Amino acid sequence: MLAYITRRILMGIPTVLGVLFLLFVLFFWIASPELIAKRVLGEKATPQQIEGWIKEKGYDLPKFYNENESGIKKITNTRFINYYTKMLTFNFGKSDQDNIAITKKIRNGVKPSLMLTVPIFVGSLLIAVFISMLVAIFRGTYVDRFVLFMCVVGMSIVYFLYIIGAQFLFGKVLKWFPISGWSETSPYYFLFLPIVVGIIAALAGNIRFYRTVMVNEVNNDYIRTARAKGLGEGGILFRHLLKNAMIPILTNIVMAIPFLFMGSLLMESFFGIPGLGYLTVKAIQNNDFSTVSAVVYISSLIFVIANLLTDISYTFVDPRVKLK
Amino acid sequence: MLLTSFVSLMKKWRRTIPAFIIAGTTFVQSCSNNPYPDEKKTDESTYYGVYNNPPKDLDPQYTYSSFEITLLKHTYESLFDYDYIARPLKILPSLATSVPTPVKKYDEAGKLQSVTYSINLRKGVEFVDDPCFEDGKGREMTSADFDFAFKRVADPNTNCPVVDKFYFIKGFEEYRSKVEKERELMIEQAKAANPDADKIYVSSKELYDRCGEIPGIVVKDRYSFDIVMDSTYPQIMYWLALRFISATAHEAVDYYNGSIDSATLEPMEFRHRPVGTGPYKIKWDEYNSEAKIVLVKNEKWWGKNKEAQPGITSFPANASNETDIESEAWTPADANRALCQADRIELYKESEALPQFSKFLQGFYDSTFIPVERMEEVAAGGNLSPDMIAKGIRMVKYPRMDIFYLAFNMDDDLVGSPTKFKDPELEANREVELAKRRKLRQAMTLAIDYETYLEIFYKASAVTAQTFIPPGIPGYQDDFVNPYKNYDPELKEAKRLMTEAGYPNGIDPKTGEHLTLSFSVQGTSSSSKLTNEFYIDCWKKLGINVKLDASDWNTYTKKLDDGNFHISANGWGASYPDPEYFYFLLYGENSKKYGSTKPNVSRFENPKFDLWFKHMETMGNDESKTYTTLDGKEVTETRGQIIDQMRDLMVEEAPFIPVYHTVQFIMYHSWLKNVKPHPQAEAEWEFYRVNKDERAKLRKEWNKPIIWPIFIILFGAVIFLVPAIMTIRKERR
Repeated sequence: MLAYITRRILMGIPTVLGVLFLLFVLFFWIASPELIAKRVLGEKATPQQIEGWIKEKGYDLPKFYNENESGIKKITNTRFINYYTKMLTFNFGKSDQDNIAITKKIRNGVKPSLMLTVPIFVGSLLIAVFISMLVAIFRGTYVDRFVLFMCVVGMSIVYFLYIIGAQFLFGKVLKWFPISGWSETSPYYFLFLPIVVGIIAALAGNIRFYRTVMVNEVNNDYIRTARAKGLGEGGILFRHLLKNAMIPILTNIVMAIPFLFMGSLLMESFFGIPGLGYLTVKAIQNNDFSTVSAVVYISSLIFVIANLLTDISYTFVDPRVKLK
Repeated sequence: MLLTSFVSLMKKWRRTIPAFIIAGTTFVQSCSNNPYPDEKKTDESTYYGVYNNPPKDLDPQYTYSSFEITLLKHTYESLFDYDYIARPLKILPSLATSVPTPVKKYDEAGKLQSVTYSINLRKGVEFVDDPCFEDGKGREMTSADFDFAFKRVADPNTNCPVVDKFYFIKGFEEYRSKVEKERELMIEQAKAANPDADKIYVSSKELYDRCGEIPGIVVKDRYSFDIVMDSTYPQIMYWLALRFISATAHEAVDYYNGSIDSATLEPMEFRHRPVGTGPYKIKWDEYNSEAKIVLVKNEKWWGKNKEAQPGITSFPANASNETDIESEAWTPADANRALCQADRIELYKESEALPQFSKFLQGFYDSTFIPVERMEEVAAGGNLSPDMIAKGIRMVKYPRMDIFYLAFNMDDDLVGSPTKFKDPELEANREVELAKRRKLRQAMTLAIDYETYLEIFYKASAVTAQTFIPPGIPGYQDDFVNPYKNYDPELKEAKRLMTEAGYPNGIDPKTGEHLTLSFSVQGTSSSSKLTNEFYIDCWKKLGINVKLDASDWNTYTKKLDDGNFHISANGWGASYPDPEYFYFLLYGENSKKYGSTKPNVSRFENPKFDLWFKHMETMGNDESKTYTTLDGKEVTETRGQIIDQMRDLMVEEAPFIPVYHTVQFIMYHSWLKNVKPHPQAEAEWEFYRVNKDERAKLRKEWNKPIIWPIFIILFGAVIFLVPAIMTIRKERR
């Protein structure tokens, strides 16, 4: 297994580098340093100001090949190498937009994002798995049909509508929760409504997915055997059905982990949560290459790690899986 | 059967159900929509406001965007400032004791040698307490702090966006080059002394001391200095009223130099740490730019002495007009009262307009801008709806110093007046072709139904622009009507002009097809598309086939920079109330043809216009000037006359279509007094007065939670769950 893990880690390195290379090429294909500078400094910026900013940020260097240098410096003294050698050592520098240290931005943003996304993820997962198990047991009955109908309705509603609907109903009309806001000292006072909204919005899709998984399992012989030997429904559900349905569930869970760090743009934006989702989208909109690169780098790392963890976790839930 | 099962189930759950109801009710009763759970009851008077984007940079010599300017306006002070109440805007002394009169010196031949502004500073003004000062105590401001500010503006490393406006000061540009060279030298010396140093910081104070003095900034003593200029530039007063030249402590610049703070392990930077003399200071322990910014009163503020400068440090004695009294922008109770009456300014970040506006209506924000999507509901036709009035909400509107316009590409053979046509055939017949293109632009200007456009898309939040100059700026004339903006639904005149332009019914006789043009806009959203397609539909009535070229910011900017468009949609806002700040967008040398960073998007070049611009640029509003026209005549004209001629030329040449100027609406609650919008800052908090008892009472009244729906939800849950459980039990049996 150690050899497998080492191999996967080594394979992950070119994946991350490839992502960064693509990002660099695409970003500077669309936005020249002058455009980035103009975006930051505004339309009223003078040529000197733009030139000064580009120099300060190191965007004045050629992208991949520096003709003015000699020897290895032709390659190393370029924007690509200069930028990414720093970044690979987690020296992210400062944001192009506001000159705030990117590490600080990420550190400040990741906590609110996780406080929002983790409860949504865990809550919706537990509820969805539980409901889908019940629905699988009672498939074909009115319970199953009703849940399926509600799932289709739930999946047809756009996320945005859940948010403004909840803000309108619970914040504006019923006045049960604050419409939006954030407090370092009492974050869950503000997070309760977005978490509930997030769970409800995620339920429909999750139930549909897990129901399919459970229905496939519930028809297997081992469930019939368990019933035949007189095991209670609870025992069948949690001891047999759930365990055997774990592989697709685990895949779904682990693949979702990188997105938890990235936060939720709409939620953060509408509920005023200072998380990473909003930060990332703002960075993309504002041509903030430094911040976008840092976020992409971290997410690609988490993605590679999450993939590896998925594979490892299979061996725990299914003894037939061996990693070589 | 069903009923029996239900009753037996209810009996079984007779203890559980009430427990659920009690828990639900308790939960809802403990719920509250108050977004300030940590709010403490104090005697302090707090203003609650909103911001939409976190401040990017708070360096006074660099910052040039709206919210940052508002923060700087309250934390730093300049030599001059604008009167709170007077409109048109009037400059008053702030850290200077008076507004100086320029003294002109001429040589024997009568040629202007210099223009000098003598500045006397107030005594006893102190910087806020900050760790950058010795013992953390802010020291007294002196003329050296302004000398330092001028030098920082000149420093290329500061990247001051308006540095060229100070080139009228003697030796300013030369000083800039000197600083650049000296910095390089200092870095080289530091590298030689310490080759392993990772980062070299050059002390600004040391650098400027080594560079000597700016010849045009003459420090006479601790409290006075002269600004000496090579030529007249009356607009310098506007720049001195902005925060670029504000009292700046060199200690702060050198202390917050990017070094790592041992407590937070974060780099400390001057651009994120205002250290000024203003009426408020930022409360750093509550500062989270992504969520909340708090300012508290600067207890050391010199303006606590209300006699210091009426209109700047005390509330004005009189209103400027009846509207001020009606809108309570001026209240008799506050006349001559000392500032600042709000002890705390709490600002919360709101990224979306709808939650922001809902919280305002709940009383949690004291004032707000009106989102366009709520305009019709709350202020149709520019007047508050009865619902809003019943809540005691007030509204104030003011025109902003901006212009939204459609620019023709004047460097283009098809629609413009290029200095030289690319097609030799057109160039051979230059005058006729130029006249044809002028008529095409005039026809396109005439074809737009501006009134309907503004009614549909902007409601009352914009007014039709007749020319480039917005209301409130010298050169704007209320009664002036642009003859090419006189919309006629039958488009008789526009169609006639199209025929004269060589496109009868919009058809190009050479190809027999409709004239096709591209219209470049930024933004690909459906609302942006809808807005811009309105123009296209108008032009279609002339037979012109205009294709919308909507793209993201990067692509759009590139097209403007490369001159790759026929028509483009643009906007411009002024930093100070002078027509020069608008007409420089049409000055030939500023054409984007000569560099992508130039502001003249339409690439308009006209020798007559350029000559007038060069004259009006350096004239005072009341001045007149004798100059030689392009045809060799000597004329004497006032600045107003020159501006009018520039306007008339613009109207006739039509290099752009002036569409609208925006009108800003601010809504505020009855408990907030003295709201008078300022065209250059989002707010003037030092003048606000909050009746917090009234606010507390109304907030409580407006925000009582509605509990009864919890019972419906519980009932609904029972209705669903009981049959479900019964089905499960049946299945099990």
